[in-house]
Amino acid sequence: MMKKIFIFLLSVVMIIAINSCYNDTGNYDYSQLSNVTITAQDTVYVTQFNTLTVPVEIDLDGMAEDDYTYSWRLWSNEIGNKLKKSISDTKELSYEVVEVPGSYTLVFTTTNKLTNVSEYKTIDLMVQGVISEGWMVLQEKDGKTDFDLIMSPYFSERHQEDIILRNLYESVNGEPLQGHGLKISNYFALGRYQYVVILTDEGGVRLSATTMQKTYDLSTLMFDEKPLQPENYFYFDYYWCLGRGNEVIISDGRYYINELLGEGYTEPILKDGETYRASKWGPKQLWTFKGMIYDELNGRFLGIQNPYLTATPLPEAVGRKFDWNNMGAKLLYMDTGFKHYDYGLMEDWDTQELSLYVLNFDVKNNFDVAMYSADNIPELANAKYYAIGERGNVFFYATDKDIYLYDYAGSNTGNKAHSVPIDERITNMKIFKPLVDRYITSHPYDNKILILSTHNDNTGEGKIYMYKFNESVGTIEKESEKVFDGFGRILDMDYNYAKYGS
Amino acid sequence: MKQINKIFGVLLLLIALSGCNNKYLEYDESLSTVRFIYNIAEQDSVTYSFALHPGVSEDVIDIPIQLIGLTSPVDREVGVEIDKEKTTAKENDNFIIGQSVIQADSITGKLRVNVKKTSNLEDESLVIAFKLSENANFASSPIDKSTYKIILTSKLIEPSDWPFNEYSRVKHEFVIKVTGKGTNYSEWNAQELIYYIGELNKALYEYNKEHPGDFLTDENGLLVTF
Repeated sequence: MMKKIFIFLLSVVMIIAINSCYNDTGNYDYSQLSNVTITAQDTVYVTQFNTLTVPVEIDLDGMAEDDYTYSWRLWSNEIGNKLKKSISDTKELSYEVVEVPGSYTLVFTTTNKLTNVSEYKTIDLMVQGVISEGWMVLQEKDGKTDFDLIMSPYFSERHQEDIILRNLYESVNGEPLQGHGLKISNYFALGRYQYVVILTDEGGVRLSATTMQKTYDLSTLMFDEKPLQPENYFYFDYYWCLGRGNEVIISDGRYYINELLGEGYTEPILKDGETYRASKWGPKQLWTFKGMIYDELNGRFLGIQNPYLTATPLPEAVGRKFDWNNMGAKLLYMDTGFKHYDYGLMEDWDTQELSLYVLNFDVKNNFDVAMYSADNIPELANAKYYAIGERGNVFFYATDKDIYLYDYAGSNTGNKAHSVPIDERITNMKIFKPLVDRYITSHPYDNKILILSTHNDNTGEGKIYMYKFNESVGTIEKESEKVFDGFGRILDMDYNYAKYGS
Repeated sequence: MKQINKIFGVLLLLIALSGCNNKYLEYDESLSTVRFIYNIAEQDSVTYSFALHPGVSEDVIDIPIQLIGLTSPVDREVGVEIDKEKTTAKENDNFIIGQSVIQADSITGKLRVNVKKTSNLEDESLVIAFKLSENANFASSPIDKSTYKIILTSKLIEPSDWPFNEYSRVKHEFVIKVTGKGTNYSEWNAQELIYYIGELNKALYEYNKEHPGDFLTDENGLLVTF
């Protein structure tokens, strides 16, 4: 028995031994494997819009550096993100990261020019976001429209110093914005839904408010497919309904409304041949109504109500301070101000006299609150820009050079409050309003900062000036002046809300 | 001691052998049949109205079929026959049944029926009734899921997702004329529906303006509104 086992085992050993004598006569073209070794960090962190450098040590096994080529490639690890690009062909990497926050793979490759043998080093790259709340400045520079984002301790405690992210649209989206800019604004609903809207004379875009990536061409969201001729955009939330609200685009005299989380813009329903031409301005403090049009054609307000967003004339104004169904005037400006009323500056169609109307559309009837004759207010007729405070009876108006404060509720007079430098002219004026009812409920500078933009026609430079003012009466604290420069011709500006929960 | 070892040995052998006992339920691999897939409401019929599809004189209706049994590596034809007692439509004139196949490695298939518009559909609804039949590939179908009917008509019928308040044939025709859509209104999102109601109101206003004293009125004598 033992003998048989021994013979069997011996046979197995012999077969293995003979097999090793097999002569491989295959015709293969072998390359000398490289002994190059690459040493670098396995994981690298970088902040978006900062320069990425990755130290690499290469042992070329005695070969000259010139005998090798180098490349850096980058691709996204996120599902659905098809980004894949070469970012450098030198050994020393210096790359300004414009990629949106997320996880990426970075691959460094060195290739021997003679043998074509390559060595790779794969590095995990984590791009951290930097876009936060701040002041968005839409501008035209070198013939192109884009926007900058000013992030400053003024706007957020998360910043210890001023940071300005330049030309954000093109940086993030890799293409210039089409058309000439008209309007930049923001949308904030239910915390989770935040975006930025830019209108241009060719239409507009919707961007993610946290990454500034383009999510829609606005024209694709217009159900009637009429060409966009944008005049204004605004968003309003309903104070009495947590987080809900509507956004509005005024285009060529049409009022397009997008209800909360609606998937497109439509005009409200008009019955029995009702017609209108929408002012670019409109009331924003609403609850009974889902929207409110100021109809320039008939000098009246049209309330938009359910069902199905139907626009109808308002109830009759019998015995009231003024007739909201027959204003007979052009609406020059309107915004929500003190006590959450809507303040509308109007010019009479016939007499061209100016009046300031205060309206409360948070009720079902009796919308009139007050009317102030504003016909003798200095330079008000020549004003181009307006800003209304919500913490007091504050009404700023501005010509090209001067800012005035209109004391409508007191002396009903206007006084020059400030002037810009002689070689600059004002191009926009806003009051800083960073709150969203029930969601962002406090900010130390809410309704306390006046923000001006100016342009120097000789140098072509645009500037932003910020001033604190007394929120109750509007007195500007000139010594608080803070200036940001380096802009082109500033077209519009607005606040970008912080990412909810951040 | 030897006895004890033997007993242990036998016990161990029994335990080991017991592990080989197959206690899993076995699927009857020989069972292979099919059934119709009814909708959520378990309806065994579908109504097809040519009036809901303006400009269409021929169309295709796919009736889904479910395999009962294991998949096969080859295509298998399903036996379908017309229930002549219940069918009032005429084959070839009103309908043509296509081949029905459960394809290889698939658990579903469809019965494809070509339907044709004829003038008599303006006056009456016609029925096409099918039943699944046994053949070389599939055994008899479960009796409660073996029949299906198509009801053909050229009359307007109220879609289940009609969104324009009171239904009337005249209103429905007007909707189709303005929007080009006769059915499946739930495909519109809420904003889209508002847009179309707006368009319908504009069109209705224009119609009534062009017909003074003869405003759009439905078959019940009521003024059409949106």
